[in-house]
Amino acid sequence: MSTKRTASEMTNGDPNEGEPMEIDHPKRGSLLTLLSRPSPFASESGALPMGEFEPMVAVAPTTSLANVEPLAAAKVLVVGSGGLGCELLKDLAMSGISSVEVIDLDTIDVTNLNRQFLFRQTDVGSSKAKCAAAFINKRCPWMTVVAHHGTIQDKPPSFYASFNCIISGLDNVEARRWLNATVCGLVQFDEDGDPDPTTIIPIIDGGTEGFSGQARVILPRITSCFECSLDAFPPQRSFPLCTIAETPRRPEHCIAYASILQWPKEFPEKKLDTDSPDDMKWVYEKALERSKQYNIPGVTYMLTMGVIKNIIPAVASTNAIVSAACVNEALKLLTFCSQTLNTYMMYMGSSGVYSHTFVYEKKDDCPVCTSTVRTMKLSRHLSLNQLLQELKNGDLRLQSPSLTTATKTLYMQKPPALEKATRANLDKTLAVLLESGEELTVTDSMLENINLSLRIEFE
Amino acid sequence: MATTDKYDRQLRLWGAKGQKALGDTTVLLIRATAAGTETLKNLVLPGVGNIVVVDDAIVTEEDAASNFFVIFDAKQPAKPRAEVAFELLQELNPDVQGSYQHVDSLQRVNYEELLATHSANTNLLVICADMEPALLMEISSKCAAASIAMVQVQSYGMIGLVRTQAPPLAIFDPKPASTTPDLRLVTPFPALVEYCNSIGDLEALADHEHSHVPYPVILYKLSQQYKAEHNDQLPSTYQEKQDFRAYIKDNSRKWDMEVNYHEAQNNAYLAYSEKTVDSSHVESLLQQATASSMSSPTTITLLQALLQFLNAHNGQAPLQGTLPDMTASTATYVHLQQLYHDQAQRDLAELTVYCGTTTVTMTDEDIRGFCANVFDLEIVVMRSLQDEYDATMPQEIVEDLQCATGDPYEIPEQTPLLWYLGLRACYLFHLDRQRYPGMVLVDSSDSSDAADWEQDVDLLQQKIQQVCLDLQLTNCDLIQTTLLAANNRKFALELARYANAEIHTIASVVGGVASQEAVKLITGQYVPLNN
Repeated sequence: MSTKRTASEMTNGDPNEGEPMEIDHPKRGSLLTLLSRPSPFASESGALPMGEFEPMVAVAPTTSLANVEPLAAAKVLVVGSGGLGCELLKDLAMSGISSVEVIDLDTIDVTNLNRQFLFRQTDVGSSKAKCAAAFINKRCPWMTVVAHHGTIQDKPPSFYASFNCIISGLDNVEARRWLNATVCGLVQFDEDGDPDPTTIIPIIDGGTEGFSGQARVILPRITSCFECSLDAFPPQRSFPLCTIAETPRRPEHCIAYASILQWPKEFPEKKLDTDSPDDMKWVYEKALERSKQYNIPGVTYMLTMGVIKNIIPAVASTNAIVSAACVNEALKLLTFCSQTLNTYMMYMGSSGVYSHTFVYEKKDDCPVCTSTVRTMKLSRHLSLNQLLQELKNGDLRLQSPSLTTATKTLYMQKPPALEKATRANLDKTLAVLLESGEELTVTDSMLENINLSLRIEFE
Repeated sequence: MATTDKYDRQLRLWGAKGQKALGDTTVLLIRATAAGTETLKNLVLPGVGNIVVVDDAIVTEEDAASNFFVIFDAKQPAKPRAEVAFELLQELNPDVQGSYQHVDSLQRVNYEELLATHSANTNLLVICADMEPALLMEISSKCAAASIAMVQVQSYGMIGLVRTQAPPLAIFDPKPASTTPDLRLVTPFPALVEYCNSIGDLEALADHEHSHVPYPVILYKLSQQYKAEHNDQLPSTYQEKQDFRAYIKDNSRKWDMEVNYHEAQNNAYLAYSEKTVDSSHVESLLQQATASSMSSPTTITLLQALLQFLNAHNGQAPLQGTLPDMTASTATYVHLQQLYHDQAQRDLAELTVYCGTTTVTMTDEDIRGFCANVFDLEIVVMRSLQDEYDATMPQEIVEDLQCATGDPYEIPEQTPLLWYLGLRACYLFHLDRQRYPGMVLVDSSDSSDAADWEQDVDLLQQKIQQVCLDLQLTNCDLIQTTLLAANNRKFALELARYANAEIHTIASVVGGVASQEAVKLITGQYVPLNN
């Protein structure tokens, strides 16, 4: 940020008048500048104060961020190494955060290349996490990005607990729920029932679709969490079976027919591989046949892929915006140098440019981040299995719930021995197994580490 | 993989036509700062045809810490930033051609020549990155004079700015997020009337057929019956509309089972309201297009043809022709769909005739695309940067600020317009001192930053006052309580703190927005930012 002055004093002269001045481009400020100067808008001044900003003592004429605390000491996890993940890694590298780990289960596809810029044609087929880490480490030698090729569920809670901040660039609701529940489950409470701040790990979650996207800050147990907003992501509705089978009208119905009904009939042993051109071609041709039968226009190979793979259009620009917003939040959370996002930012870029930021309020009875006991009023004649179905198909949208009471185990999904031992309870009625008003503890693979309390009252 | 097309995910947004427009475009980046290279990255990746990077800077170590497309090697002689950035950007996508130009000083470049060179055989779009005000004014004026679109992108500490300046744009492909269907039930075309009549009395239909009558047919027939009983009037008051909804329900046999009647009730409004195109709106668009000599002849021809069509059809627009999915038997749905399609084809053919045999080259796709957007036509005229900085336009800004103060959830200090005014003050500071506030002059003997940068705060605060005065905003409540509040120099302090810092995350956000706007300007799809 220093300006080299030429021997002659710089004047207010118009550069276009007479001989143009020799202007050395003055050095711009940098992240170091921000971190070494106080601010009236530092973290403590915002609506979600995270800490008190203490400007670094005079910065020596070093430009390296390598030793700048707390950035150098921070450990950040990037979940997902795709459209958002590549951008996140770049942004972290350019923000002085050198200890980064990235996890992704996927390999590189050619259709990633229009935006996942750490990958090249020759990388197609390789691990996303490994390629991304290698590229960043090479381009930015101060970085040590560690790659994990695998599912997020394969890592134990202690893995997640080892980070100061977790940034998620996932592309599906289930993974977000699992990650959210796991990290929220790390929070410990003291004797007064208050959350221990040292166990709170912020999650910054980003998502994009076409020209729209969102970024949100989740402070487990303090702000709303992902599960609080589950209602905003209704389960994907597929076409009614009778429409597909009997009264198709749209090309999508013909495609669904070919993939859902015809394929299993033709290939009972083989699951449809959405990445195989042969399999997709088969579906496309069958769909086309059916569409011709019913005089329905519009079946194309591109539409077939879009329907089967549930393709969401994606471009570089939106991913860049959302990811940078996320890392900016990480920067502020770690250094307190400015106000933290409180808590949810929406971005819409297809018509003009719009952004809306608001506080996403906690849900009073969120099963993950509140300790509320939920009450369910049920018929005493309902079977335990029916209760389990309700937990899966109702608001809670659990995956494979297990139930215990204070005194006994009602049903356990795992391990196999316990499942077998409790299986007989599934057909028993609630009246036989419980008292009205009794409290159950529910656990689920979707909401790892979370115990949900349920009070059953008989109607 | 299911497809070998790397552009698949973006083709689903702008199609082959949009992709071709990208391929036919050269993007010229002036100053390869982080905001600049991030903007360009998001244009190289989707396959813009050609890039040119012009810069006078030499790579420094600081650059490499915040700019992903700059590498600094202490062991090598320092390289021109244009060269390094160009190579690292082009490497992202083998489809993209280009070149770089290192100049001694950006102040001494002949921009008329530069623009002419790169727009000779191609469409040109200019990106001005992190440019000081004097230079920005010069380049933007030259772009305006040559009818070349330009995007200004700037990152400045924790704030950033994107500004588009383009010749008048015909927004003929806005792709709105949701559209109401064009069912034409109020003024139906003959084939539709014929079909509805051929179905006969709904009450005479067997149960299965009754529950599979497409809802447009239900709505048309019921609205006809309603008219017969109401002096040939369609529902217009709130009560009448509620009554009509109830009427629909009454006409269903098994309300719980007849999904088509639910659909009819949900879409009841289509029975009595229709999308229309206002002739006077089209006339005004035509006036704007003709007045601005920049408009393409295609635009003018299409608008003239549309006016002719509207006149010939009593104000009725060409039919869209698409039918949303609805509960119906396959045969009736397909038949109905065909009717709408055929009528749309007839209207399209008529419009094509009106387009005439002029010297204008227009494809069928152009006309079809225009037809499909006939209800959402706009022409956007963008004020040039020069006009923005010269003119006083208090009313617009004051109204915007008043809106901001009226929003109970808006935190006043976070109102973007205040920061815009602050940035304008920084520009004034720069015009005065040839540097931005907070950039400290350092003695070789004293490396302490200390309070030196704060000396600029007073002058910056004066500039803020000057901007507010020039724009006649000194009486605005929000301004008085924030920027001009006595003893409150928060904005000036914060802006001076930044010293025009290049923060990568901010550069990446504005780079994303700038590139997104560039894509809209290039493809002519979606609705661009104004301005």
